[in-house]
Amino acid sequence: MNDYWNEMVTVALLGTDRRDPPTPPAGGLADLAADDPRPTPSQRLLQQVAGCTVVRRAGLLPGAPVATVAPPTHDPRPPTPQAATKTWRRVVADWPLLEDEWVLAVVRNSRRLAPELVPPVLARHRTDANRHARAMVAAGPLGHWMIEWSPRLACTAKHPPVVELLAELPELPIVPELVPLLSAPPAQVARTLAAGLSSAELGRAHKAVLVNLLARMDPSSLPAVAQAIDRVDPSSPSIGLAFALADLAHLRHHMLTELELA
Amino acid sequence: MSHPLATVAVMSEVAAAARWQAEQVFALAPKPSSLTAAQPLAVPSRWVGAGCDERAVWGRCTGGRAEPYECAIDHVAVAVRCSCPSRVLPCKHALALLLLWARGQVAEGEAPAFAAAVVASAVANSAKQAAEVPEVVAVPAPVPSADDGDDVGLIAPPIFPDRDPNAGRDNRVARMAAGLAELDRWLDDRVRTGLADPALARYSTWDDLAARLIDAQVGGLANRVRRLAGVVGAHPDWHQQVLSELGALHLLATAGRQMGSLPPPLADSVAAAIGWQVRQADVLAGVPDTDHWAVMGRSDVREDRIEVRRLWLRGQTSGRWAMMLSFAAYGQTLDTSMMVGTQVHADLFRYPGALGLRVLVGRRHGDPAPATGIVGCSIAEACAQVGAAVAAEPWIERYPVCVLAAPARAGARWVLTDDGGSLPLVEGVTGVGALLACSEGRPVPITVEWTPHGMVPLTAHLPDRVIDLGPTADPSFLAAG
Repeated sequence: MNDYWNEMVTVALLGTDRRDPPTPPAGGLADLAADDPRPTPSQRLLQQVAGCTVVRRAGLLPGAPVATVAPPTHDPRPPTPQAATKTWRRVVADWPLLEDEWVLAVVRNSRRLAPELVPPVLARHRTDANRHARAMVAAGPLGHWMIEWSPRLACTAKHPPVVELLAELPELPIVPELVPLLSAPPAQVARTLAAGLSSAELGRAHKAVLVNLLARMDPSSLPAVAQAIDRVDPSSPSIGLAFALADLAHLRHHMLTELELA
Repeated sequence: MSHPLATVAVMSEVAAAARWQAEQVFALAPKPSSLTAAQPLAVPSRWVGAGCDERAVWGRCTGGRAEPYECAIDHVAVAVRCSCPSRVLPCKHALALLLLWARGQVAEGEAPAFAAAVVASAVANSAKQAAEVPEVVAVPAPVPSADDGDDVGLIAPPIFPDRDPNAGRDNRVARMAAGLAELDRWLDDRVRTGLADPALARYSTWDDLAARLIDAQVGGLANRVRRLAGVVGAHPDWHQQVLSELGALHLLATAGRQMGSLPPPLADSVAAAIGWQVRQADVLAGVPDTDHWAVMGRSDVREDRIEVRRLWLRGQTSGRWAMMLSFAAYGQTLDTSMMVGTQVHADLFRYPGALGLRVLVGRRHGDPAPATGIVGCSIAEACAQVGAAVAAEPWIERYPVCVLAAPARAGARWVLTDDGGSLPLVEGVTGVGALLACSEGRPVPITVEWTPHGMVPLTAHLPDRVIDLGPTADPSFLAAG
C-alpha cells in the first residue's frame, strides 16, 4: 500500500498529462477501479487517491512500542495547589510584577511548582538568569529532568545568576514620600490611600508608584488596604485607579495566602 | 434520523420559529470582512427597539448619524432590508442583528411597520411562483425622505428570493450540486497539471475556489480548501498531505452529488460535511441521549476568522462520544459552560449523521461534579476506535480517544506508547511539555484527538487533578471573560 501511495504521489506531482497513474494492487482498490471505471487518467488517479486515503486513515495501526523515559528524582515537597495554577495565569496576564514574589513564595513555603506549571514558568524566564534560577529551585528535580527532554526550557542568558539575589525580590522604584507607608501600620496606609483616591489627589499619573507600593508593602496590610480602596467614593475621578489598585491588593493577598501550607 | 433533504423540506414548515445558530449567520456573510464589520455592532447597546417574533427580527442601529438605520430580516424566507446605503447584501447591520438574535439577546415583541413590510414582500414574492427564480430580487424600499438621513438616490436594498420554502431548497440543492461539480473539475485539473504547478503556491488559487464554493453554499468544503493554501510548501511532505486532502475533497464532491442514493445517516454526514446547516429546533426535536457526561477534552482551533471550540464529552454509562461546538468571531467569547474534568447529568441531542458526534445540550439534571473513574484504553484499541470512526465518516478530520499511555521519544518525534504499540503526536503541538511534566514519563489516562497528522493531547487525567492541555484560543482575539 505504501509503495502504491508513493507512486501516486509522484504521478500527482508530475501530473497525469505527463505520466499515467499506477495500476492499483489486487484487493479493494482494484475492485473499486473495476466497479466504477473512470474514463480519464486524472479521474482514475483522483478515485484511487480518495480510496487510498480512506484505507490509510481507517487502517490506522500502532507503531512499535517505544521505551518509556526514566522518571525524575522524587521531590518530597508538596506541589502548588491546582487553584494556584489559575492564579499564576492571572498574575502573568494582569499583574506580571507579582510573579517574582509568587515564585519566591512557592520556595519559601517549601512547595514545588505544580508539574503543569514547570514548562511555562521555565520557558518564560529562559532569558533571565536570576529568574530562571529561582524558577529552577521552585521546579526542583522535575525542572532539570524537563530540560533534559526539552532543551528549549534551559536558560539562554549569557551571564550566570547572582546567588545573593535569588532569595530577594527585585527592587521597585518608590518615591521617597511613600516609602514610610511600606512599613506603616495597616490602618494608616489604608487611610492615606483611600483619602488620596477619594479626593483625587492621587490619580492616573500616580499609578506606577502606587502599584509599586502595593506590590512591595507589608503583606499583612493588604486586606485593610484593599477594603479601604473598595470603599472609595464611586464618583471620584480616581475610581478607575482605585479599582485597579484594589484588584492588585486582593490578588497579591490571595496568591500569598493560597501558597501557605495548611 | 431523516435524510437531510427531507429534513430541510419540512424544516420551514415545522420549525419556522427556530432561532438561528451563530454559524448560520457566519455562513450568510458575503465575505469575511462583512463579519468583521458586523462584530462591533452586535451588542445590545447599539440597537434601539430591537425585537423578534416567529417570522422576523428587527431593530434600529444607532451610529454616527442623527437617524438610526432601520433593519429588518425575515428569518424564515431569509429576506433582508436595511435603510443603510450599503450595497453589500446582507449588510453589516443585518449580520449584527442576526448575531444578537442568535445569541438570544433580542426580546420578543410586536413587529413595527418596517419589519412587517419585509415579511409582506417576502410572502408576496413567494406567492408569485415565477417559473424562473432570479438570484437576487430587488424590492421597492421606502423612498428616503430628506430628513431621514439616508443618501439621496439610494438604490433600494434587495431581498433574498424565496418564493416558497421548497423552491428555496431546490434552488440551494441545485447550486450545491453545481458547486460540487465545479470542485471536482478543479480537482481534476490539479492532478492533470500536477501539484508542482507554481499556481498552487499562490493563496489566490485556493481562495478563488473557496469563494466560488461559498457562493455555491458549500461552505464546509470552502473551509477545507482554504486550509490547504497554508500547507503548500510548509514542510517537506506537503504534497502528501495536499494529495490526501484532495482525495477527501473528491470523495465529498462525489458523495454530495449522490446524496439521494446514500443511506440516510451517511447522507446526513455528507450534507453536514459540505456545509448544510441543520436548525437547532430540528435537532432538539430528536430523542435525547441522557447520561452522565464527562467533559474529556477541549480544543480551540482558528478557522478562517472564527475561533472554534470543540468540547469532547463521553457518556459514563454508554461510553459514547459527543462533541459540543461553539464559535467566536473577533471580540466574542467561547462557551465556558462546561469545564474539562467535570461531569454533568444531562440530555444531549445529536445532530443527524453516521457518527452523530455533534450535539446540543438540553436539560441538565444536576450541577456539574468532578468526573471520576476515567479509564483509558490501549493504543491498539484506540486505533480500532479511530478506524471504525473513519470507516463510518471517511472525511472526518478529528476523533477523540482516551488512552492509557506514556509520552516517550521515538527519534525526533514524541509518541504515546504502551506495551502494545505507539502513536505519534502531531509535531510541534502545544501541550506536549505539560503532558511530559504531569506524567513524569509514566502511563496516565490521556484524552487525545486523532488527526490525519498525528495525535493532539487534550487532557491528562491524573489521580489528584485534571490537566487541560488542549490548544487554546488566542486571548487577544476573544473578549475578556
